[in-house]
This record gives sequence, C-alpha cells and structure tokens, in this order.
Amino acid sequence: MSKIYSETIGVLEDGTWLSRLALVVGLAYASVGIIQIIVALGFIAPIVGFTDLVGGFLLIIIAAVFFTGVKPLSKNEQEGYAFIAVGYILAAILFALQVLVIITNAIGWFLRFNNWLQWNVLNDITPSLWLFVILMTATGSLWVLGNLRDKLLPTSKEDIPK
Amino acid sequence: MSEQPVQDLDEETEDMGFDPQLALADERYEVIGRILCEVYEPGGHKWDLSDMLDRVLLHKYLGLPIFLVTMWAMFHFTFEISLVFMEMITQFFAWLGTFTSQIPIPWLASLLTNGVLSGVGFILTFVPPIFFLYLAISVLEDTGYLSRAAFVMDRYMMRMGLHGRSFIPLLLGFGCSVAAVMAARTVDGESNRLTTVLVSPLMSCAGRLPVYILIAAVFFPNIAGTMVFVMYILGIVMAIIVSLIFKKTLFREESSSLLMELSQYQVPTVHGSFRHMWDRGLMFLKTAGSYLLVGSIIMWVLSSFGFGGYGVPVDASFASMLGKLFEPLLSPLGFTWQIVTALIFGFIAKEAVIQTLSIIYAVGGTVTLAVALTASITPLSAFALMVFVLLYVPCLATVGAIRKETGSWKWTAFSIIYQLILAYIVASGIVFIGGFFIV
Repeated sequence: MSKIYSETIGVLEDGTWLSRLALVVGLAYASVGIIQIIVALGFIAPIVGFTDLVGGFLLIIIAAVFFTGVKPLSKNEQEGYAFIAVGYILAAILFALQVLVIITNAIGWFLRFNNWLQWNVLNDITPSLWLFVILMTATGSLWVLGNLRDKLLPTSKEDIPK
Repeated sequence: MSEQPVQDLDEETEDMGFDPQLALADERYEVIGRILCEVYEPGGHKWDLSDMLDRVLLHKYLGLPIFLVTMWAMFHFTFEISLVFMEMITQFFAWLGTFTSQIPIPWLASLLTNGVLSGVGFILTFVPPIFFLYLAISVLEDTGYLSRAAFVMDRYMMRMGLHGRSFIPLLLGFGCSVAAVMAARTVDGESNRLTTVLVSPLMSCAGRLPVYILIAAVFFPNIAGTMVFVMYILGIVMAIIVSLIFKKTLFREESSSLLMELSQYQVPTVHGSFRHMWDRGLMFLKTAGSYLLVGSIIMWVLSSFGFGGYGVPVDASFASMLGKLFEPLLSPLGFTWQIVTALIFGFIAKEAVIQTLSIIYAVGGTVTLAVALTASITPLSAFALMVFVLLYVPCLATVGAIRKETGSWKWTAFSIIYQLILAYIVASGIVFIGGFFIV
C-alpha cells in the first residue's frame, strides 16, 4: 500500500533528485543572471531590480557552482553535496546582503533623510533576493518530500507487496 | 655556503628535473607521517565540513570566481550598509556647524566650521564604511577563508612566474599598506621579497576608501558598490602586472612553491570579529584625531590666507598657488587645481585627499563637496581620479615602512617614482580611451 503512495508522489532516488535540484537551481540562476546582464547593458527594456551588471555575473557564478555538482550527484558521489552546500552558502550571502541593504535603506527613509525620500522598496527587490526565497521554498518542499519518501518506502522484505 | 655553489646546485637540480623545494616538502611530510603512525590511531571514514568546502572553494576553475563573489559581497556590504550611518554623522556635524558658524570672531568661526568640521568632521563620516570593511576582513580571516584566497591566487600567480606567498601580504594591504609592506618579510628570496614590498602599496588600503566612496556615490550612484569593488580588483590586477614586469626586467629570481598549512574552517565569534574590527578601526580614529586634525588646520590656513593676508578669495590663496603650480601637468586628466592640491596633501595620508577637497570648497563657499565636484569634473575624469589615487605615491607612513624593509633610499625613491608614472599613464589611458566612448 505504502509503495503505491511513493510512486504516486514520484519520489526519486537520493542522488537523482538532488542532481535534478542542482540542475534546476543552476538553470534558474543562470537564466536570471543572463537576463540581468542583458538588461543592465540596455539591450532590452529596464526591469525593476535588474540594474546591476556585476550582480548578473555573480548569479551566473552561483549557477556554475550548482551545475558543477550535477554530475557527481547523479552518480551519488559525496563530492556533489559540497557543490550544493557552497551554492547555498553563496546564494545565502547575497540574500542576506540584500536584506541588510533594505533594512538600512528603510532606516534612512524612516528618518526622512534627503537621499532616501524617494526610496522605494521595490527597487531593492533584486533577483538575488527572490531567487533565494524560491530556492529555500523548493528545498523545503523537497525536504518534506524526502521525509515522506523515507516513511513511505518499504524498509524490510516483508513490507514489499507481492 | 657561498653564492656560486648554490647557483651551481640549483642549475644541476633543474637539469635533473628535480625541485629541491618539493623534495624538502616531501621529506617534511614523510617525517610527519612517520611520527603520526606512532602516536595517532586513525578513526573511521572522515570527510568533514572543511574538506567539503575546500573541494569547491579551492576548485581549479570555480575557486577564483567564488573569490570574486566573496570580494564583491565584502565591498557591497561595506558601501551600501554604511550609507545611512554616514548620513547620520553628516547630519550631526552639520548641526554642530550651525553653532560654530555663529561664533562672533570671523576667523575662529571659519577655522572651526570650514577647517576642523569640514576637514576632520568630514573624514569622520567615513568611519562606518571603514569599520564595516574591517569587520568583513575580520570575519573572512576568522573563518579561515582568507588563507584559502591566497591559495587560490597562488595558482594564477605561479603561472605568471610570481611567488604565491606574496598574495598574503597583498591581502593584508586591504587594511593598511604599512602592514602589507611589513608582512613581505615572510616571502622567500630577496627578489621576491623586494617585488612584494614594491607592489604592496598598489592594493587599496582603508585610507583610499573615502575617496572611492565619495566619487562613486557622486558620479556613479546606481553602481557605487560595484565601482568600489572594481577599484579593489584593479589594485590586485595592477599589482600582478607590475610584479610580472619587475620579474621580467629587474629581478629574475626563480619562483618557489607555496607550502601552506590550511587550518580548519571556523565559525567566527561575534566578540572576536568585533574586537578585531575595533582594534583596527581605532587606528583610523587616532589618525583622524591627531595628524589629520593638524593637517586640516594647516589646510585651512593655506586656503584662507594669501599674499593679501586673511580672507583673500580661495583662488588667490596659498593652496591655490600650490595647486596651480602643478595643474598643467594634470590638466590633461581633467583635474582642477583644487584636486591637484588635494593629491599633493594625499602624500601625507590618502584620507587627506578628501579632507583637503572638503576644506578648499568649504572656504570657497560651495554648499557641498558633491555639488562642487560635479560642477568641476566629468564622470570620466572622476573615474581617472579614483584610479590615480589608487596608484600614485604611497602615503608617508608606507614610504617609511618601505625604507625600513628595503634598507635602501634608492628603492624607496624608485617606489615613489614608478607609482607616480604608473598612475599618470593608467589615468591618461582611461581618459584617452574613455573619450572615444563618452562624448
């Protein structure tokens, strides 16, 4: 009975789902990074939060870290986890930095300083911020799914339906 | 052992395809291994967090890009986070200025408002970014990443025939050039050491940060943090290029391998990081309270007095005469006499560049330094000014350290002259090439 549930959810083997996660996250960071570079260079219409050229390159570097982890993870090699971990750390650093920028800008706006009167929080919602939120949401979902998998998959020979 | 047999031995070992440095390293680790076999009982499978992180942070291709991300994050943090705190300090000194400007004795009111508050007060507004920079460096040091950064850069420096260990003093140069020059003692070989001493002042020290922050905020407000980051990277790139030129021309000593023990990564403690930040930042505060204060008074005197005595227009002041004397040399870069005077005073300390500009424009009656700068130079010249400040003569304290470390006035003079020429050539190149793109 339990096996049916796990098949319905479509939970993959450990290394496989992690490698797919790394691939998807890498693709997300790479594509947003490229768009940010194109916008910053003025080739397409401006998008709020996409103004920093270097910021685009940083997203591509994070994507590269995740991509490098795809191959070892698909082989379930321990080394692959290192790339995922560092990718998360770098993404978290950029996210934390942007949160601090928003907090300090909000202080300036609250104190009615001249340079902050026109400040709008939307301008500070950069891809490094919302990509990390999506990344953590996806990771949380997968973690829940992983836990379900452990609970739902048969653990002994007796559990396997004949 | 005399020089000749050592040289013969080197040539002999080179012919045999045998690196004595590596042989010594191998022998060293063999001894360590033998001792460990006797006293240490290995546990089970061990692949801890440090190994895991090193696999990526020291990666052949990803190591350098990750280092760049870390650097960018550090300078973005330093610049963006400190803006609001800088504004608070600016407002405080503006409030103090409303009192000092009311003093009935005109020269005293001018000295305190345009001299001390516009000089030292203005430079103190840069305390937040300097403290934040020191905090970021402390965190990186305490985690153990800074030594990895040296390891990552070693690969590229060795490829260019440079000594990998030189990068550690260069990294220390982000804090203070004096520390970088003194740390060059750890570099093996006389020529390698001398090269490191000579290129260390090319790294952006904390004293240059106020110049970068001010110009970046005034002329490039949307990418200000990135501009500061670019200046720090440019410092590293220039140090590598100049080292390479020195190795190919002045010094031809062979590079040796970098043997470095990498400690485990640590989670930095709040107390430790803030303590390091405070200890280093205190040096800046002492500088501001001592000779920058004296410097601001001298600068006020030079800006307020001329051959006609006190109260002459700033254009007829001694400061103006000094700046106009050298202005023809730097006018092709778009620098005005005010900037030239500021650069001359920057020889004492790099912070004095901004301090001098602030006093000259305050005495001249300009509302703010930002307004004065945008009215007097173009963004291209502003970028050239940032690069010029990065590369031109080391500050007085660094010159003293170079003299002490090299033990030679000849090398000290060489350090000053080559940096002046380098700054002029690179800044001119920026103005010339940039002129084609910016009308």
